[in-house]
Amino acid sequence: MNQYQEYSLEDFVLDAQFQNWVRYKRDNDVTFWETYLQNHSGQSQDIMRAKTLLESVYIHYESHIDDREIDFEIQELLTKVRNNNDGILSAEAAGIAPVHSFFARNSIFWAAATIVLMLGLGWLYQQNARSLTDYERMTRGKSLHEEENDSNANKLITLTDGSRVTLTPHAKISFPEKFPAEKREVYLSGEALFHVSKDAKRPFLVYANQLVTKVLGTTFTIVAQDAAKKTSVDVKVGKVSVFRENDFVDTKDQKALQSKGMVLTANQKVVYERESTNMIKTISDSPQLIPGENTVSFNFVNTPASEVLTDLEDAYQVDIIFDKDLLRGCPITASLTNQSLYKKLDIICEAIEARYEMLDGQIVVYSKGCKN
Amino acid sequence: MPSPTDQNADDSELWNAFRAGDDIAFGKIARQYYRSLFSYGVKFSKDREFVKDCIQDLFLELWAKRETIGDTNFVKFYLLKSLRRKIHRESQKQQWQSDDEDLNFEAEHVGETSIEQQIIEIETSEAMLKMLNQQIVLLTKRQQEIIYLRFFENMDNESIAQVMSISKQSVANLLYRTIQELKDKL
Repeated sequence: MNQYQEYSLEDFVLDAQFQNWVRYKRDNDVTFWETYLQNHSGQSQDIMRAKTLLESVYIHYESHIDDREIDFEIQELLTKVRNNNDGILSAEAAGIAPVHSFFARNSIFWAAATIVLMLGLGWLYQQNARSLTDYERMTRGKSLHEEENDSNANKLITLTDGSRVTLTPHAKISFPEKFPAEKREVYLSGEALFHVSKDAKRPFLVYANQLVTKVLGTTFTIVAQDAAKKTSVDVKVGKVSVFRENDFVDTKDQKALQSKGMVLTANQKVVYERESTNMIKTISDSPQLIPGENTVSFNFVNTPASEVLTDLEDAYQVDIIFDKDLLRGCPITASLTNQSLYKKLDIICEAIEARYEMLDGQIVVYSKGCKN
Repeated sequence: MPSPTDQNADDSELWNAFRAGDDIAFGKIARQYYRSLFSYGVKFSKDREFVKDCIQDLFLELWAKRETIGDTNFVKFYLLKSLRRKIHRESQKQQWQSDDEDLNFEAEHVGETSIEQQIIEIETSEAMLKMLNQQIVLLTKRQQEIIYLRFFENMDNESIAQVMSISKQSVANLLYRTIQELKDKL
């Protein structure tokens, strides 16, 4: 540990153990560096800057390839090795232009074969699983503790990590007696409000119908009735990522996953449609004020509509799209303290003869302007 | 993702089995280095299938030459260098109209969306990462390749010099300069 005391930012950046910590966040490295940081607070600035520098490089250059994709390539390689005798291979290696066999180039043949096989397996699987709900399918055979709300009132459950789950009537949740060190996984059927305690190293994963919601610490509601056409995740505070269960192969290859997930912030909601497997981002049904440093009164006297909308954007942390120059000429006088966000928007739009729409998790205000 | 480890006893056993014609061992070796090769390869060509084909060819050549191949302690380094050469050659053939002297090294997807999505995973401030990201794009292709090989493949300056066919001193200088440039933006 002593060698590091003389280290500058540059030395940390180039140190293999330091790199491993930033890149893989393995438990023993995390423990080592956190302890080191506590004991050498004088170096903390250099360490944190070195960490940021490396993180940005890792994010920038990460490429992803599925394990399955690699397996497929290796299989193809071995098939070629076995099917060809060495004479041909040597000639290929010696020649400048590689000769591709039918199977090598036309990997479409293999793809087709694989798809047929998978469809076959899928069908068998469907036959077996038809009577099971997603919840039963996912919890079956795992040793989990189950809590069910069979009352007519909401039921509060506190998990071992301090997270709180409010189950609405008939909802149930399964979770392990003790969460493992690397992640917190729970399975939900029905509707529940989650208040997840923050733990950056252990993502909290909720499996509900065919959606997987991943968070580090935040508050959100999931509605996942068994076999329902729609499953939704509604974020109150913080940020969550939502994935289709099929995409969520819980591999180490997190980056491959990123492109398939959807990030939701406060007052945003995703609706997953079972039939089409579409994920649609929208605004929460009842957006809540986000507690912030400056509270707005929402009492406006001859205030330009552009300013009013900007205040709403800040207060609810939602994106409102409008033509600033146009709406600057539309004065609003109203007291908008007690209404919901939608009611507020209704009132504003009526006053300035505009209308609004919800588009991909944003609010778009259409107006022709006010020429007085 | 497999961590980059140095050659150890198991690896050299595997290597010997491969040289003796054991195709299972060969498959294991290919599996072990595939991800590194692919990640490196796609920095030179956005065509993933093209990169995969190059890697296939690379391994087939390796198999064909297995009996004459040395007892190399630098398998990964050898493979990375060969892949780099192959992609260069093949892409020149494909795009005969381009007369680029050197390979173009850049991230697979340069854009903000992938970064924004990853912010949720890490604690560093969004603005800082965006700024550094823009800074990385401004680095020369060589600088980018050096930091990639150094940070992702844990290679030392000498190996980097060999893979990129430049002097060890240039690697050291460029690496130092790159870190300074990025550091100034922190």
